[in-house]
Amino acid sequence: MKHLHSGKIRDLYADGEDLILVASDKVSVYDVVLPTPIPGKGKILTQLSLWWFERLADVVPNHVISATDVPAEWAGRAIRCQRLDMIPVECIARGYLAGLGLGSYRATGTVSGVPLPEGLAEGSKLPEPIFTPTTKATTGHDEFLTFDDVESQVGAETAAELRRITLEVYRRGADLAAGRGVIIADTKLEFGRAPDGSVVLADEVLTSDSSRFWAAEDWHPGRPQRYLDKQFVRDWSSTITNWDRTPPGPPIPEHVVNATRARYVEVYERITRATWPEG
Amino acid sequence: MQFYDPHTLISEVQELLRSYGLNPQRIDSQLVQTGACMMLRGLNVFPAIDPVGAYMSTLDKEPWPDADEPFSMTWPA
Repeated sequence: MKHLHSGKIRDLYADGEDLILVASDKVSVYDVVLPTPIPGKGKILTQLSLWWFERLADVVPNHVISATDVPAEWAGRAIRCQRLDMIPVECIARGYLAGLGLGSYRATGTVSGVPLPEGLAEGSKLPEPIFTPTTKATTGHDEFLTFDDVESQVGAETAAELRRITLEVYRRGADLAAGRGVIIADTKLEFGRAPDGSVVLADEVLTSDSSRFWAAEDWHPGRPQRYLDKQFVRDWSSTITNWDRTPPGPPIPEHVVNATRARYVEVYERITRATWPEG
Repeated sequence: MQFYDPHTLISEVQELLRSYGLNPQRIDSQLVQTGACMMLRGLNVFPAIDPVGAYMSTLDKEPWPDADEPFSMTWPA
C-alpha cells in the first residue's frame, strides 16, 4: 500500500493498479480543517456514497471495486477504486439557487450560460435542474464553463453524455431524498473513462461533502438555508470572535461534536431508511 | 481509446515555445485548456487527467458546498 496524498478531508493510496480513497472524520469551515474530528463522519459518508452508487448503477457504472477489500484499520470508510482516465470537467447539477450559482445569477441572470427566470431568490427552487459545469483546475479556482465550452473540450457526444448522466443522477437522488425530508440543493460529480472508453462515475456521490443538504421542513427561499448536518459546527464557529478564519482552527466543544455527529447519523438514516449500526 | 493530459500538453508547449526564445504566459487559462483539449481531440486523443493528479486536486479543495460558497455573501445565517 503506497500513500499518495493526504487531502483536507480524505487520503489517497495506491495498491498495485487500484486506488484507495480513505475518508477521515475531519470537518472544515471557512476553508480551514478543524482540529477536532466528528467521530464516525468518514464511515457515514462513505457508506452513504456506497448506498447511492448501488442505487444509481442502472444510470451509470461506477469506479467501486470493493468496499471490503481494504485494510482493517480503514474498514467502513475506504473504497477500493478503479484507476480511470479522468475527464477534465467538474459536472455540477443545481436544482436550487445557492452559492456561486446565486452569485452568477445575480450578476448575469445565468449560471454556466443557462438563462434563468427573473425574480428568483437565494434558495429558490429552479424551474428544472440545470447542468453548470466548471473547469477542473489543478491549481487555483474552478471556473464556470458553458455547455459549448464543454463540447469544445471533450466533444459534443461526451458533453451530452455528461449532462444527461449528471442531471439523471441529480434527479434520481433529489427525488428520493425529497420524499425523506432532505433537499439536495445541488451536487458535484466527477467522471472518468474506463479503458474501453465508457464513462464511469468516480469519487463520491450524493454525500454532504459533495452536495448541499438542506432540511425540507426548514426550507425558506429568500435567505441563507440551514445545512442539515454541518450547521451546528457552522453556527458555533460563527460565534468564535477571536478566530480570524485562518489555520489553525479552534477545537470544537464536545456538545457541538456530539450534536453534529447525531445530525450526520440522522441524514444517513433519513435517506437510506436504515439504522446506522454504530448508534 | 488514447488519452493524454491537457495540462501536461500545455506545460510541454510552453516549454517548447521558451526553447524558441518566446515568453508564453497563461493570460486566459480557460482558453488555453480548451485549445489543448481541441488539439488532442483533433489528433484522435481524448483529453483526460491522470487519476492520481485529479484526486490530489479534488482532495485539496474544500468539500463542495463550502468550495461553492462565497462566505461573505451567504454565511453566517
